[in-house]
Amino acid sequence: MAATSDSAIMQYVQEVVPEGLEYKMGRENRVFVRVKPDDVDKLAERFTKKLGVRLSHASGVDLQQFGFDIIYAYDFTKYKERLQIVLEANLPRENPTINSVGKVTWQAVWAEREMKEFLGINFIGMPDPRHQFLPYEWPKNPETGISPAQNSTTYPVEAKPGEKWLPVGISPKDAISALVPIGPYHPGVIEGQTVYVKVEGEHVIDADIKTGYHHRGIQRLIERRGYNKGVFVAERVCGICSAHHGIAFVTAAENLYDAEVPERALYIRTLLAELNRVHSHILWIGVAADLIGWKTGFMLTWGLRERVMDIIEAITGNRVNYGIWRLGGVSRDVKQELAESSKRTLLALKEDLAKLLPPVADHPILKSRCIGVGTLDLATCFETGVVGPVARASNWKIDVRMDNPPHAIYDPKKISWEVITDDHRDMYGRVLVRVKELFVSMDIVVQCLDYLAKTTGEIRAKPRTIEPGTEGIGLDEAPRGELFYYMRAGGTELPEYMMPEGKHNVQGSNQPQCVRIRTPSYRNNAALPFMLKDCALADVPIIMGSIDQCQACTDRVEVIDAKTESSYSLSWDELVRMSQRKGRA
Amino acid sequence: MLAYDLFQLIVFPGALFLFCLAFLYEWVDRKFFAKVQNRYGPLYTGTLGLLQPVADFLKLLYKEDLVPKACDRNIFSSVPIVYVVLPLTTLFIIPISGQTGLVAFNGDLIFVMFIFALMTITVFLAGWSSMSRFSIIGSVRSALQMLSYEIPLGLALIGPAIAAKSLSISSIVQWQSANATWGLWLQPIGFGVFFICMLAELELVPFDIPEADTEIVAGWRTEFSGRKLAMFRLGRDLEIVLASALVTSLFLGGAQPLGLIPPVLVFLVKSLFVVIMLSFARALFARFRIDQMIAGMWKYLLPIAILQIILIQLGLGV
Repeated sequence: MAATSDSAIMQYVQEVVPEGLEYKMGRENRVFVRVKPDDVDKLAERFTKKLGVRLSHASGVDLQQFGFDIIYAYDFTKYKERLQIVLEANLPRENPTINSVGKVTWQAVWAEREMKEFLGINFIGMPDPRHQFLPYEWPKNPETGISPAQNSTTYPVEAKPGEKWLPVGISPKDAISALVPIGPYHPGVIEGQTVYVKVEGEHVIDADIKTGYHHRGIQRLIERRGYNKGVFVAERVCGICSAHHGIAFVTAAENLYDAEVPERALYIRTLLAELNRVHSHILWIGVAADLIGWKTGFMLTWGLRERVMDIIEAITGNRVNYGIWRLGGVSRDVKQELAESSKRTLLALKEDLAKLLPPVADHPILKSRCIGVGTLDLATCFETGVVGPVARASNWKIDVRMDNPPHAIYDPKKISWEVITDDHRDMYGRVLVRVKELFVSMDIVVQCLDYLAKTTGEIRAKPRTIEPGTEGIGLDEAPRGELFYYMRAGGTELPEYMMPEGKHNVQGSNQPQCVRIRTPSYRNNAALPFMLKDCALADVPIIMGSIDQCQACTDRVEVIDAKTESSYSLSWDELVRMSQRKGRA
Repeated sequence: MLAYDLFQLIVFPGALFLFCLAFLYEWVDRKFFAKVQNRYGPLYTGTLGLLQPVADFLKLLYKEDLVPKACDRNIFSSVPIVYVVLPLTTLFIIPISGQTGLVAFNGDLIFVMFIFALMTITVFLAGWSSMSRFSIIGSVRSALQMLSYEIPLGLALIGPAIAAKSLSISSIVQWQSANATWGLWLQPIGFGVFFICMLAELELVPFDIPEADTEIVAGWRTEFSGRKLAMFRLGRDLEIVLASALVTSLFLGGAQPLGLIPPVLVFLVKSLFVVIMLSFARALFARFRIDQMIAGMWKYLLPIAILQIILIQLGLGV
């Protein structure tokens, strides 16, 4: 399973990382480097600008008295197979200050805003110091004069002197532009978010996105539950790409020990992941049809999607959260009859989709609504770090399944498939990429079902003990793009105050010290304002739709108490009590 | 005689009949739209869900009626009534139960064109008076839309009038009956132009731009609720009746007696066919953008409409 670190990788890492830094080789070519806080922006400059690698994620870990660990995960797969370099910088608890990476690359901006808000870390030279999840108008502390998570309340779409928003009051004499809030409750967006668009007539001149309507504290919930139970919570990050969260979670956890996963389990994982992608893409096509006002397309595609859901239900017993992911395998086998009947259903569905989708994708009205809308060139793509079909529609060939596959079968020797790219660089490209990917995914599913029908075997290997302090990364290509899981094992080697709650001095703790999730929508949403500028108001919903937003994935952090300025997560007992109270009322 | 006139105005083929027709056509539209999409459509209220539109109307009547604080109260409250009255009045002109309308007069075709313009102005006022961003954008879009389809619509209406040498809808119907032909066979281009303009006038897909729900919530209707919304829905239904009645009268021969079958049944069948066509267009297309719509109307539809008039002047289709 694990392509363990060889000398070529070591040599390359020594070339890339400055001398004198201590680094730790993880499994499967993951490298963890301790850096000084002053160096992170220089290294970011070197990595992203000179070497042209992506910043997968940046996040902060609260280590109590040991301060904060800031991690920056860089994706080096374009140089060495599966190579991920993670820079880790430790900051003191008093006045944690670090140079901003956001000023080097836009990819870090959201992550830095999040860290500033939740951990109170100061980033020097931060390009966008506004709140990420809290409302912009969040009250300031009366004593200190600053709001819990810093101070600025300036909107980029704020009225400049000489401008006035049109619709408030009727004085259009000196009013030029109007501020139209799309969300948090709006028929064009399914989930809660606000996109402020500033329009002059029908022309959008500026846009801003505000998230923060779905706090669930999922990362903390996983940390408290440990590896075995955490996977079920991870699945619930998103209801559409739940399979991919499951796979990314087990990949990250299996990255913490020398995992052996039976091949049959890998096939079942791939099978479900691709079925998941099929239903997600069909769903998206329906939503996109609805967004351009074609209700019939919405109804037809969602009707077809039900058949995929039926296959998934027959295989796992569930429709949305499958609950079959286990460390070292899966929990349910696919029997021969089931594989064959599923294959028949799927082939019939493929025929129907082949009748419906290509003519639709070729339809003149669809083309007129999509071509040249929401363009994103490759340079902006790279700068903003978009992932998934949005990046591939701009002719950027990134696909985690090919570059850095999760613990499932994506080996081109065993399964034939291809990465779909398109050079339209606009909405239409995204439609084409998703339609083609849909059929590729169905081909993969058929190959998996063939394998499962022909063979039998083990589906789960016993997990081993996880060494304390090990770090691991799990990646998977969700329907919306690259999904990133970072995990650090907790355990006895750490001092007692760094232990997860309730577990003291237990050999090889079953709970991770931290789990960090970066969902694809987190990246794609950050790029949304770039796409929205200079479009027509009528195109705003479809551009927002074109990245297949998933807000529940984007907002997932912790609960903040405004009065005490402390962040906390709800414990299970509290949640049970709350739900009981609610139930009685 | 007065009693009969009153009966005609109030019961048949007057207001009551027209209201029933409006609800029936909404049901047909919804049912057909659902069938195209593999759905059932209205099912439970009444036989086959026939009473669903009435139930919706009654439900809206007793819902809370909210009036935004910032709105222009007089316009905001009066516009829904005007929106119902306008198509209802116009329907009296159109021959439904015989070959003469209830209040037919020479020049009523011009009156119909005027009413269509007035409807759009009502819509504009509705959005403008409610002071919401979405409403204002919707009403501006609806006014822009009117500016682009108004002229092709006028030209398409004039076609049958030139052929029948009369500006009265009743005489156009009588002319078609006398010549044993339909406007559709004589002026197919005009029929197409008129049909497209009706889609735009009724704000149906692909021209539902002023109330595009995914962009601007409900467009100019966003702030209306309760009784006012019920009135708007009724007005919309009556407008659909009006549009189908106009297409029937001008291009499909109107209420001609067919052997023993009374003219009103002939009229109903023809106009139902038009409603189904409207509904089919609604199901098949996606929404245009406002700039695409305006450009299309001026670049393509207007020249085609002029071409039809030229063809009539050259003696074709008369």
